[in-house]
Amino acid sequence: MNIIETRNLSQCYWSKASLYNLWSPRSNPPAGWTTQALFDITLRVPEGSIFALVGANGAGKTTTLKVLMNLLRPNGGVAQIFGVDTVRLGEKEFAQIGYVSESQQLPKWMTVQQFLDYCRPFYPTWDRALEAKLLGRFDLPMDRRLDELSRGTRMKVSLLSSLAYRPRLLVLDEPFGGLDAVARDDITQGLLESVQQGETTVLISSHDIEEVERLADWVALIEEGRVKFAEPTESLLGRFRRIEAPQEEMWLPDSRPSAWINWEGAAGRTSFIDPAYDREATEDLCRKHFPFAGVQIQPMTLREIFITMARKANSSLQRRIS
Amino acid sequence: MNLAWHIIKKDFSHNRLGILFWAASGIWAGLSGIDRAGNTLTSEELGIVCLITHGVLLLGLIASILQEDNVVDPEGFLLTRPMAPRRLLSAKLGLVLTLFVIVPLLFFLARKSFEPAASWMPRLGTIGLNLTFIVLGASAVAACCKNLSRYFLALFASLFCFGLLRLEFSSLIESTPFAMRVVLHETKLPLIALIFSGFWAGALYSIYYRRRLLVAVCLIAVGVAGTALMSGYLTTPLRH
Repeated sequence: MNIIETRNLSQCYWSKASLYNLWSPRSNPPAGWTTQALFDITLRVPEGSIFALVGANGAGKTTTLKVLMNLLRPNGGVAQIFGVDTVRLGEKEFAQIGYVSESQQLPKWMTVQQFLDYCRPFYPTWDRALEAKLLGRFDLPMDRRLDELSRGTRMKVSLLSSLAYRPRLLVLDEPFGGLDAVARDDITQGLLESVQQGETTVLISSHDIEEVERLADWVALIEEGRVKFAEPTESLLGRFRRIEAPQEEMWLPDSRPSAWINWEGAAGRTSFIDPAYDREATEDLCRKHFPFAGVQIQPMTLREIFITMARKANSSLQRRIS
Repeated sequence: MNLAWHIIKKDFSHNRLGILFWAASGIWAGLSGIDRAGNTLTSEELGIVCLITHGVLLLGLIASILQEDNVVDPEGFLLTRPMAPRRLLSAKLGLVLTLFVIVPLLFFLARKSFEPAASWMPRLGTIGLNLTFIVLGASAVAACCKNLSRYFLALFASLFCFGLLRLEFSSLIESTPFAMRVVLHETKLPLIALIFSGFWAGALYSIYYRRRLLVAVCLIAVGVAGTALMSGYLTTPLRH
């Protein structure tokens, strides 16, 4: 079952568009008034998964999350959480959703203790034992005001206030932005401990590919407001391979498969990336195009895959511009 | 626990110092003989300062209470929490109306309780309606603004437009040669307050229930213009 489903979601930004949206949230604004932030975003987030949205700055990750949280009204398409249209999310649904964003306006005049006391009555399912456990893990100063805390500590407080009621869905918008390694590790561990029973689905947007690789079992790449792919991390890591062939000069076989991308030549080696790796088929093709010994097929990290896809998008954009 | 009551307690606790100063300045202004309607103004400078402080604190506190859980800012904390708009609006309006309308009326009643009711009863209604009008209007403007500076700017702009429109309309009425009507007394102004309070309430509904900022701003603008025109109409002496 999918906790989140979006179909052809589109969203545009601009002052005139914002004004237009106030009158007519569901129809398309006049052409030329807007900058399109999302184009036909279609996503399905399976229940119990940790689903990561990755992409460059301005790709549309935060906008997607804001539309899902009903903080922005979509200009087109449908977004649903627990089968409910996001523009109709109410008390019942939000009682099962946790939202953590670094730009969220917290009541910063409160101390950590006051903030937790303030949040508790909103959630009938608030778990005091889990709260105590997370307090211990995050080592939070209870008598300090939120505006006196560092960004990382504030993020921990925010995360604690969203985990303590065991939400069915947890939405995290750039939770690791600007945090040091210790704070990142604390947050990741706290998150993993709290969601390991599979009761909570996590949707996370992040630049931090290493943390995403550590956490996520599904990954979606968003570029220029479009979903490039969305698939299980395991399958993604399984289908991307870097292939290196020893050669004096970079040489591109004439009949090479069009799927092979990112051709590079350096230090007597030609390398490229196969985004549709299949052991037997790829080895056959390698033998056909590089009929000499020493071809190496290496797995790639999520970071390398992300950079490869970003470069591919840039080069296709350059081609379109030229 | 009732969530509206939870929010009210939080807002009261956060603004307790401001509320204390507001109450103290109001009591001081009241005791020094300065009336809210300005009818019995004395020359006591401290009293005048207290009255001005009281007014500014009133407007500031309304903004502080309303903007603490802003629904205009897409990053507002309560927007993603299980809090229905009706509860949030009832909590916010409940607190501002109780503090800034009901409490001053009770204070007025306490002061006048030894006088015959006929002498103060009409004024009680006038003060109550005018206060409701001011508090609702300021609340509507505060709900449309993200921060305090924008709020005071918007209030200033609204007052400026109100003054300008009223002046223009009064001079228009005065220059109309065949105007025929009975000139109404200024005591009818609360009636306008009652009518146009509906616009402020509509603006608050649009913001909290529908999150339609433009609709709310339009309602406020219509309310300001309408109030100016009506008060100009009712208070301008005519040539018959």
